[in-house]
Amino acid sequence: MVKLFAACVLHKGPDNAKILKAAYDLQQFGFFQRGSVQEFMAFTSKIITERSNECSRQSVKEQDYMCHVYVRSDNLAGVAITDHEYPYRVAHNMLNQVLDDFAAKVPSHFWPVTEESAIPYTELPNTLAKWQNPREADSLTRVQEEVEETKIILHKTINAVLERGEKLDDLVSKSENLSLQSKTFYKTARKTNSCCSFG
Amino acid sequence: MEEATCERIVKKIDMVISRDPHLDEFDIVFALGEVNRSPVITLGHKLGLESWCVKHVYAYAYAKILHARKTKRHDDPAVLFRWTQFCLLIAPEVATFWNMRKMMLSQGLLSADTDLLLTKLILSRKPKCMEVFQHRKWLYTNIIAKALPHQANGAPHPNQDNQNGNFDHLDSEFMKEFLFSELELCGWTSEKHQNNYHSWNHRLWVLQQFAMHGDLAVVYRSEYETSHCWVSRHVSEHSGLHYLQYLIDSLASLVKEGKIASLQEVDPSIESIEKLYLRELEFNRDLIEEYHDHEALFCHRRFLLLRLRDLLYPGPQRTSTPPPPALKRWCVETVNSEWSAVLLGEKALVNSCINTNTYQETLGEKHTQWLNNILAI
Repeated sequence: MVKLFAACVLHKGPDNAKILKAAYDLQQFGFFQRGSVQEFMAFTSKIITERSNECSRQSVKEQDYMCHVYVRSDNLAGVAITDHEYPYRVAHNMLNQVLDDFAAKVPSHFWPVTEESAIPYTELPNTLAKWQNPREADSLTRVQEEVEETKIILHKTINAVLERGEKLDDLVSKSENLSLQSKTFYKTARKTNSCCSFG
Repeated sequence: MEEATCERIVKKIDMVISRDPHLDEFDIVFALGEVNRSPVITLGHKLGLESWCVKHVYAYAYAKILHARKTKRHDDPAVLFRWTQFCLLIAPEVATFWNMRKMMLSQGLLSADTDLLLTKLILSRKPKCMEVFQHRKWLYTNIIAKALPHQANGAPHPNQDNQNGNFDHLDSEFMKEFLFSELELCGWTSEKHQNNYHSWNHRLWVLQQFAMHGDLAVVYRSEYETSHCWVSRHVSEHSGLHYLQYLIDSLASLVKEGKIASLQEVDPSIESIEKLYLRELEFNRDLIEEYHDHEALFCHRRFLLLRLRDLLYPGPQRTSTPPPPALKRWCVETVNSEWSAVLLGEKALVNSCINTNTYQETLGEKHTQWLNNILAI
């Protein structure tokens, strides 16, 4: 499906990354699962930003999902989570636009210290809805600077982004930001994906 | 766990389901069960069951059902409904439970609406479950269609009996309404689970049922529109594309048979069958250019090209073996202009794929090979 699930703006500090604002579209997931899915998306956004260098663009594929990340030189970062059909060039165009917009509206001294709820930026849900249709949204912004495809680094799995010796399973079980319910959800999802799920 | 507790949980679930006909989701929610409260959660029209009790209650209900089957004692059918309902919510793949419900349905002990709701709830948790779709099909042919006296044979009897003409019409309206809601259900399930083959299969079957209830143009118009929308939002799914292929093909044959007066009833801009396929080819090209790296789109394209070749270029010299060089040249010379325009279009498309340095390039090369081997150009 051509679908945009989440868009987050983060600040990459020296030790860890902090979410400044996030918007999600999780209608497609079951009602009782949405909470866990959202926690996971926030978790993934953080670990990926923490492991990306400044001024870099990456697109990471994990199962049927794609995670696009862009860290600017001023440590403002954007993450977009889409499915595998969403064109990754368009996702990076969106991140460009979102970060420019965010930086223009929220002064940079807010970034390292302010909590997510206190950030005066409300456009993200609208942006997420607008970019659901890549064709339309992209043609509007195409006149502005275009992300060069060659500058995007592609990874086939999330493990390629992790540092040496790190494992996603360990990161998940160690994380304090994930509830027990979400951790179980992760384990069962692993199990069901491990074999062919025909029927 | 005690049997009484299990029975209470099964009862509670049954009560929630029977009280709220608008219930639209069921799921198992993870919980350790440390707190002393009922594991049945209702929020709005959503029903959840906490995971800690599932194993015990399922084992209990399962044993009860099998015991009842063995002893052939059905003192109270309501109990059996409850147990099978619970087990099916947890494990809808078990045909035995479905068969027991079918038996009760045919004996008139259970109403079709109950099972329509139950199957819908199960689909919200397992949208790709074949047994559920099968049960709905069975419900339609064996219970719902039979309940209508004038549709008993599955075929309409126009003006057979003037007195009953009105009833015929009402029945037909009712069935159409039901079938449209079934199409909606298919849309919902194919959105929930990718590559949902069973859901698309069900949709095909529903479309075929419309043949008995007249007014095909309306159905085909809406299906033509929805499936184009769907395909452009799910560019890598063969199932959706396959449905579109079936839709176009049957549209073409319905027009030939005169069951739909003209294609313009479906889309005013399409005058002929050739145009129908040419439009499709154009639509497909736009998608290929927009969304790179999806083989499904190329496969769909090949299907369209084969159909177009038969329509625009039904040459007698076409055989399974490639024609000798001399004949080949002759072919090129006599090709009609529309078909050569199509082939030129293919060349341009392949050229745009090459030098992209991605999977799209491989797909373009494969497509060239296919054009050479199959269409012999």
